Amino acid sequence: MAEDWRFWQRWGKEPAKPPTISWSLGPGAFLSYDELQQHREQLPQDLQAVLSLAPLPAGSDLFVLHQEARQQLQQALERWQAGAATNIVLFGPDGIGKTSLLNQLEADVEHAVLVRRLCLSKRIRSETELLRYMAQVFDLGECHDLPDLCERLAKVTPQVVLLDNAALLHLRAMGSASVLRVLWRIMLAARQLAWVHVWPEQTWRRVRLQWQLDALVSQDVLLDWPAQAEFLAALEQRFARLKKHGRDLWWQDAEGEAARPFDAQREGLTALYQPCQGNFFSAVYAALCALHKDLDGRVWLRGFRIPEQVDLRSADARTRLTVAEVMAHGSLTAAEHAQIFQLSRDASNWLLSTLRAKQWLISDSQDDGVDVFRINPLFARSLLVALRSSNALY
Amino acid sequence: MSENSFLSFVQQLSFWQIGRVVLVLLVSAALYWGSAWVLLKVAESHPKRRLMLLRWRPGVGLLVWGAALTYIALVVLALPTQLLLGVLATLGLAVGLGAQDLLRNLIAGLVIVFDRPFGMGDMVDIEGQYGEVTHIGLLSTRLQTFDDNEIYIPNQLLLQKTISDSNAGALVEQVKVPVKVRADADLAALRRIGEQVARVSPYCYLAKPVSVQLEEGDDWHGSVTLNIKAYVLDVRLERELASDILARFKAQVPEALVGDARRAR
Repeated sequence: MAEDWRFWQRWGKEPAKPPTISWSLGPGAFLSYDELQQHREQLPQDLQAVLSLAPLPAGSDLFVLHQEARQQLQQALERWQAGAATNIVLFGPDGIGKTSLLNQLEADVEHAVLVRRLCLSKRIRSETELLRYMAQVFDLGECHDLPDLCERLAKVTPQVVLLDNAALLHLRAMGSASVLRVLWRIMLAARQLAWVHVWPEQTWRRVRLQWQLDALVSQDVLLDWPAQAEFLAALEQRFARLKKHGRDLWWQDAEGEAARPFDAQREGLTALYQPCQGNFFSAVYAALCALHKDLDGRVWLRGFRIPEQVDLRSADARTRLTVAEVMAHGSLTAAEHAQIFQLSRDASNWLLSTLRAKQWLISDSQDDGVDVFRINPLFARSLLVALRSSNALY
Repeated sequence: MSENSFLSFVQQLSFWQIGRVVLVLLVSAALYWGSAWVLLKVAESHPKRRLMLLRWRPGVGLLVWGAALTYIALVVLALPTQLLLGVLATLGLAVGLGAQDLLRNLIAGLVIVFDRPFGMGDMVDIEGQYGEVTHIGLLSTRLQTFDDNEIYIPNQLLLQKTISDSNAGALVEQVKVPVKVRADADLAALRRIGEQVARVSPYCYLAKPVSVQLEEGDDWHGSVTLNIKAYVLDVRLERELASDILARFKAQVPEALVGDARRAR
């Protein structure tokens, strides 16, 4: 272990290189995720709202992608109203817009049916924790055990249950499998409810493989990377919104050249599709990096920059597997990583922090100050391809 | 072949011909090493097809050197048929008398290249030596063991011995982890735990089944061997998977292990 630790220490001390830029248009700089958060705060509110990386709120007219999936979900819920048992899995890669779609779905159906939104914020690690959580969100009082909870749930008024971030019910650790087993028993017991649960694509593939859940799911909806037309429509919608708000954007072709009004067609939003590999998150990220406000209050777009996609060929096995496990769990803390890989917490923290410095992972701080690491959606697509090619994901 | 005709052939050799022979050999060597390097790089960049690509390496080497020698004999030196047959007969006699082992290794090498009983990248067990096949030459085969030793095995030995190939060209392979447990322990529960510890290991390939089998122990302790069988996602991580499973299992049920110190007290 001592040798192992020295290795991580040495490796962690290597200065993290900023990602190489593989495609650019105009001058400007690429910002890391943390720099981007700071940069974003300096922008006017309307710009922040339009070019938001966070899930779009219910009823947002910026929601353009995944209309087909939205229709599928609406139709499935209509069938449920007609009496069909409904258990829908909504899954897709990181940053694709699963929560945004769930927000829209909630707005679409809440006038017609009762909707209950469950949003997990912390990992549920035991059967007892899940029972307590379910009893609390459904206002069932104190439940003694699973049969008791199931009995009470069976009496709950029919409603649509939207379970977001279901990945927090899965951990590749001893004893955690019982949480999923209990979840399915709850879903089977409460068949009068329409369940819509949201999973990161890789988590769902792994869970389905292990538990052979196909027979229990009435429909699965995969959110895939958008086609070029859909991608551009969504991007143009965002820039059109800015114009609608009377916001003038200025574009500069090269350093030192005079600025002119930004023209979405001319500045090549179309060209963004290829370097982004259809990843819409990357396009919004590039646009946010490009935005600058000068002293006169004018907002400039100083060129788009797309970083080179991640190549894991030179990465060692533990790095590859770490990225794979983060992707397959949706998010991981250092303690959870340490448990999965049987490492010390310090070594896990070091490894995850190094990957964050490389921009492959991003992190958020929980209420208790613990960092939760997630895949940087900017690289979600290339990481997935690389991990699948090395058998680390399926 | 008379000695005179051979001597007259050697006397007739021009510097230009010798230069061409050297040039062809150099080009062949460059082609051989270049193709081997390219194959290796392509294989490393496509981990899933690594073993399939590496299997081509010995065949490519044979093709390059075979073509080069034929070109030298027939085109560059333009050996007369009589002389060619004479050279081959002399070589055959010399090899037959003094270099039988060399010849056997060479023939075995050709058999391995064409018959492909195993390929580059396979994990094989030959006479108790277990490791990854890193090179298949005409005379010997090299294995890289998990102790980082490089083992050279003469090819003729490979045709005489039983070879166990763990993955046969696939990137995943089944790993068996035997654990001795007490016969009076709850064996059904131990089987469940064995399956769980394999599944939670990050090295386990979940798309393939995990199984746990029991085997009667052959010692006087009254033990039972629990064979945990799981697939590793890359053959190179075989030891990591086995160690991970063993460590997790021992941590989960220390009281069920044979020779548990706490129980002895």
